[in-house]
Amino acid sequence: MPLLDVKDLSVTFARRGQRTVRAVDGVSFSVEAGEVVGLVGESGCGKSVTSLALMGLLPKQRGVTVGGSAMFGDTDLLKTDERTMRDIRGRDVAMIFQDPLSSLNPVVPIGVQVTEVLARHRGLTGAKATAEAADLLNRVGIPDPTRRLKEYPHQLSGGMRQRALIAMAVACAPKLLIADEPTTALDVTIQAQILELLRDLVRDSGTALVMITHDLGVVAGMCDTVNVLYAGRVVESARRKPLFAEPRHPYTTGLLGSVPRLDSGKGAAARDPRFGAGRPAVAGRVRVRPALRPPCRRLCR
Amino acid sequence: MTETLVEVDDLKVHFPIKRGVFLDRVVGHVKAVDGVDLRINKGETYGLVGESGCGKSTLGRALLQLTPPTGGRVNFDGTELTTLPPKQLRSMRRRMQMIFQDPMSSLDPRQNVESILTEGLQAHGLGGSRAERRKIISKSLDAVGLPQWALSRYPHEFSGGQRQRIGIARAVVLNPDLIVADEPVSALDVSIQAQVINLLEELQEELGLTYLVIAHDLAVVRHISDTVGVMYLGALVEEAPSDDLYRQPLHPYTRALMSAVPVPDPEVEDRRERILLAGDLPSPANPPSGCRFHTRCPWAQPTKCRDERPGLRIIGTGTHKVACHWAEQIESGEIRPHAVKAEVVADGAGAKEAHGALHNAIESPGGPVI
Amino acid sequence: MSTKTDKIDALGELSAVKQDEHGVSLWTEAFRRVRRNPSALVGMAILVLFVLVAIIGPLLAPYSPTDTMGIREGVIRPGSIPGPSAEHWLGYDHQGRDQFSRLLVGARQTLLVGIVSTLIGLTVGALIGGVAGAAAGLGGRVGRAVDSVLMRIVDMLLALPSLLLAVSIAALLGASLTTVMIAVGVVSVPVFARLLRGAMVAQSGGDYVLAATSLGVKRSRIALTHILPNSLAPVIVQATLTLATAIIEAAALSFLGLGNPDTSTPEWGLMLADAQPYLDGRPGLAIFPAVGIIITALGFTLLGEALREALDPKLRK
Repeated sequence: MPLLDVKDLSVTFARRGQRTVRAVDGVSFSVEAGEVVGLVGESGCGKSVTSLALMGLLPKQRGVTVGGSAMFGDTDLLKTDERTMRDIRGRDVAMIFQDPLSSLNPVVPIGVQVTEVLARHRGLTGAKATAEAADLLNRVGIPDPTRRLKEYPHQLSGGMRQRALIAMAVACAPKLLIADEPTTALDVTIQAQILELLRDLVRDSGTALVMITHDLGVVAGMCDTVNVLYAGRVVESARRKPLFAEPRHPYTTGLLGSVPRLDSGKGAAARDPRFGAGRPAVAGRVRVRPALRPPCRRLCR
Repeated sequence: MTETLVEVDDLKVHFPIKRGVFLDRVVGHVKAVDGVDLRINKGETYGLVGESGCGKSTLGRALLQLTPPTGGRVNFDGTELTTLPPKQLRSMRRRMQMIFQDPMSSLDPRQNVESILTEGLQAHGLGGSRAERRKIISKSLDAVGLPQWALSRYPHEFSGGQRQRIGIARAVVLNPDLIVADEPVSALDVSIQAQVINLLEELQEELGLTYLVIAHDLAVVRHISDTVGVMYLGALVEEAPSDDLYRQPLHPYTRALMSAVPVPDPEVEDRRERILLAGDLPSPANPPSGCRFHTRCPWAQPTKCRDERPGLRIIGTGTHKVACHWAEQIESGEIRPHAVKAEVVADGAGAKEAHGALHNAIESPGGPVI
Repeated sequence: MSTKTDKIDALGELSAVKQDEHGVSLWTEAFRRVRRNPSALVGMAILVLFVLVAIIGPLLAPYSPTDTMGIREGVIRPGSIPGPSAEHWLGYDHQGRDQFSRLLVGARQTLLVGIVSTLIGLTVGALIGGVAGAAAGLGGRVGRAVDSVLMRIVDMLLALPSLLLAVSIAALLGASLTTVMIAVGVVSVPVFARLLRGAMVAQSGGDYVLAATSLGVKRSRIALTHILPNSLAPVIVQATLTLATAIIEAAALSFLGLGNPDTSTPEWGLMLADAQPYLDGRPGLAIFPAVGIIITALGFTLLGEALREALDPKLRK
């Protein structure tokens, strides 16, 4: 039995006087324990809405309808009440967001924010909690953790903030981690550090990871299974290597072809054997994705 | 025979850090650009890469005199720009245009496309009559692949990619020689990025443009550039023809940067070796002594690196330049990478000194990177 | 290609152009959004009613607002002012004039005070703020000095309590309606100046200003055609909100006896002042003009808030 089994998830936003937007339209995927699953797609494809729906973080108001099921063990994450959800969030399922600065409270020291999670879900308080918090920061590679605990989010760099956020997410050793574009706001060398950290955490703790990203390179480097989203639907779902070796859906092919790759240069660049015998380099131009528009949600916006 | 269009010598841009309530007191300088030399040949594309905070955008603006340089010279087709009187500089601007990162914020939301495109023509008294101007701007609309009815529309009625096309049309309508493109595609979706990159290349062929493309995305820069310069903390650390640089990066920072870029190919990803840099970029207000990169360099040596700032020097064929004391030894494998302790980087002028061990030390041996 | 298809293409293009001839500018868009906002509609309804009364009020008034008929008819005695009746809907005032007629006629003066004083504040404030903002944004070192001097002057104005400032101006110029307008106007100068300057400085850091500079457009032209139009939204919003407070402040000054010395001309603030001694026996005398002022101010405030929402770039899709 998979750790998380999402079946036919759909999310619609209806607003008075505007056309109803079906942001997620029958998305199904499953996550095995310890597995890294990728959700890839361009902006507006519904990948972030999917993650918010799973975490129960969509605004509870009229016009927002969530359908389908998301079985996490015996609980359906989409149907459970807010109280149980609060217990599950942070303890069993944790989330890492794109912008670490806006996900941290700017006026509260990092230490307090980490110990808060420990107190809420693990009942740790006082010196014990502080020690544990320092240990967590150390684990995610923040130098001088005891001093960092007393500092405020703005005093940390972007990469360090994302590390702090990851520390909070893994504080209770969750079974599932959802990372929504965790490295998009960061520079490549810092992104490499964070991805390495996530890889290590998954390997060492056996946490399953749902990686939401627009970057096919990130997916190629760390996901076991990949789901390609387009216009709120999963258009292709495959294991990592077959997906990149022989993509079946035209959208995936187009997306792969349109990515400017580091290993293909201007003009008819001589191929470098060290880049490996992957797909042939795109000569001269980046290929433009073939138009594939029938159910495009972005046009409706 | 290649002709040089732009010649930058020892360009410096230092921003004062001011403190104080009543009287501003300068307590230090952010050395955003600190001594850069570069040449851009006519009809070619110079790609400038580096991470945020390395000063690449400031360099682009200082080159166009949009940010006044603190020191150094910029020679544009025989004219020295840094000492040019404001009036002459303004008329010189017709020949050097800019494309911005965020197509929305770089277009005045209250101007329609026609007025956006005619503004430059009017400023330089070009085009003569209204009808003639209209002809010029509709030609540039064609060139960037926008329909004629776009003229009466406003920026907010377009998608991101289309807006960037408007921005490009605004630049090419003046028939410039040089275009500085500051992160021209980083705000766009991947598939749109490809279209805009192709458009830039087409326009270069048609109009004989010279580009300075500034980007953090190495893949984008590689795709479009003839020559690539890599910046770190306000200075160039390596410069080479695009293919040479990507085939054989010589500076340790370039190696780390290239090894960090994810490649959408699992086979490549699984086999490549990663060079993880320790810690964060040091503050440009208080840059490290000697080689700027020595605090994070896995190949740093006890001698020279700490106290002697390396300049760009030619290695090998004569077009590949590196600012590293030990480039040859690193390349031959004589010097091996070692673990680096991450230095805590504090913001502001007075960087606090604090050290801590970073768990992810460098384990990979030397040899070919990527 | 055959001429036929050429023609069809040309036709198609033409019709396409015609269809799409006009783009939707931001102002049009904002106006559309105001029209969709229910609170804006309520505000506008109030204001239309108010302006209508101000224009044709004297025609609607059943009696002359200056006719002291109550005294003539002997119905007014010390300690007893008759309240609402069938002939006099809101009763008499303390001098035996018809309260309802005075309220209708008084609307014009009140509106005039509000508009003129806001215009004074807006014009002077926008002038100072505009010059300071343009100088600070584009003028380099000299510009920053000009901006500093202008803003310190504005700061001094801002440091004085507004009512005190108004009272001193009124004392200097003598009590009259003009005095009230000038006093109330001057008080709102710093607000407009600071607001426009701030918006312009913020806008001049924008990429589109840099873009215009890199095109080679003159600085004065950039300030006028780019920075100023994009900085006006908060000023317009502030103007509607100031209209509301101006009416209240003018009423306060009239109440303090600094307004029109010719007390026979009705004005809501003055009516409120006159009602003061009779609050015990006839609170209606104070309540009706007060309610008038409040509802009008509310109308302006509702419209101002709706404008703020409509013009806010963050809410733009």
